[in-house]
Amino acid sequence: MKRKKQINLEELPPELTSSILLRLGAFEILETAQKVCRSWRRVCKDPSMWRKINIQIPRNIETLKYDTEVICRNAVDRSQGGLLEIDIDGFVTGSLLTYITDRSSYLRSLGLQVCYPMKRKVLVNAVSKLPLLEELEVSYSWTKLNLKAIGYSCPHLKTLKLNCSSYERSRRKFDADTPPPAYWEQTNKHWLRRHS
Amino acid sequence: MSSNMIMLKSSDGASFEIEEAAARKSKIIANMIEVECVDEDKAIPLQNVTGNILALVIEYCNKHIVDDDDDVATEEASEEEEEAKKKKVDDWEAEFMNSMSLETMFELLLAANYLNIKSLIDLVCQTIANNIKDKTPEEVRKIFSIENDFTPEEEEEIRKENAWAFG
Repeated sequence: MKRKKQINLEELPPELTSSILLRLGAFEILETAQKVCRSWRRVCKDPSMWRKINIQIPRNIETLKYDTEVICRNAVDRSQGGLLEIDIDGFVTGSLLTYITDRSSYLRSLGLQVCYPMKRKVLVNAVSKLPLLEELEVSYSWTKLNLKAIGYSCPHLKTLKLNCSSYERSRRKFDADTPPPAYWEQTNKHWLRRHS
Repeated sequence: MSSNMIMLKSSDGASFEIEEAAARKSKIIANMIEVECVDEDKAIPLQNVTGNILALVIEYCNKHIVDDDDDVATEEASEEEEEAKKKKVDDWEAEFMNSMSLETMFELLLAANYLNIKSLIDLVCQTIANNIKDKTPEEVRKIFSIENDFTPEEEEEIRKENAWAFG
């Protein structure tokens, strides 16, 4: 019996391969896709693969050995300054945040978790390097955010999502300078109007 | 609204009749219709698509043309209805993709690319990507029958690159 010609994933045009691989998270690209074959490796090196970075390391005992910070830096390096969106599922240190924002002046969307001991100023300084930032999502605990300063540093901010821990929620009394706790989302413009 | 029917002909000579509205899901065919190079009595020859794949493409287009019409008619639909409708489409798409082999998926992807049907390209790419998630490079090679073509030097380079793993 004559065998039908097999179409192989390797033989897809590069634009289709990248369209497939773009749907993977940064961790899957670095740990799996780029180690499969030469053509995939070539696609994974292209900065266009790294405009939107989503870092989510599967949580199991196997992956405890991975260093989120090194993975983030590697992904940011690969974007070669063209990073538009980054979402990191994991705690971000001040130095990592600064590393990202120093190299990504076109960033439009940033999502991260911060926790003590990141100083309030670090986040404000970092986002002030992102004039095009439109969306900011911060999960935080054991620390207070200076939302007013963040609002003023990012004139294009449209969406601000805050997710703070129950510890913060229970001890905080709200006033004009603190946002409502729990999960909070509204446009920066409205918020600034009410609070400036 | 009455709908015109047009004929498509696959590379292996099979003919299919399809509503114009559904065929317009393909940018290439839509363009042909715009510039009026579609003759009502003549089938449009599609050199790069075989009959079995074209049948799948048409099934997809037919399904999605109905959804587009609904969008226009029920602009006021409640969020719940929207969600229910979206779920129905998602379920259909999952079932549709589930029914085919990986090889068929690649052929469908090439056909969708050739015919320029963006939503179908997205659907197939996402399904293939889901097959890569949570796999090791070896497993991916096996599933997709990809040959490991790295030179020993490149293998070494990959090993060295692994600075993000402790120990």
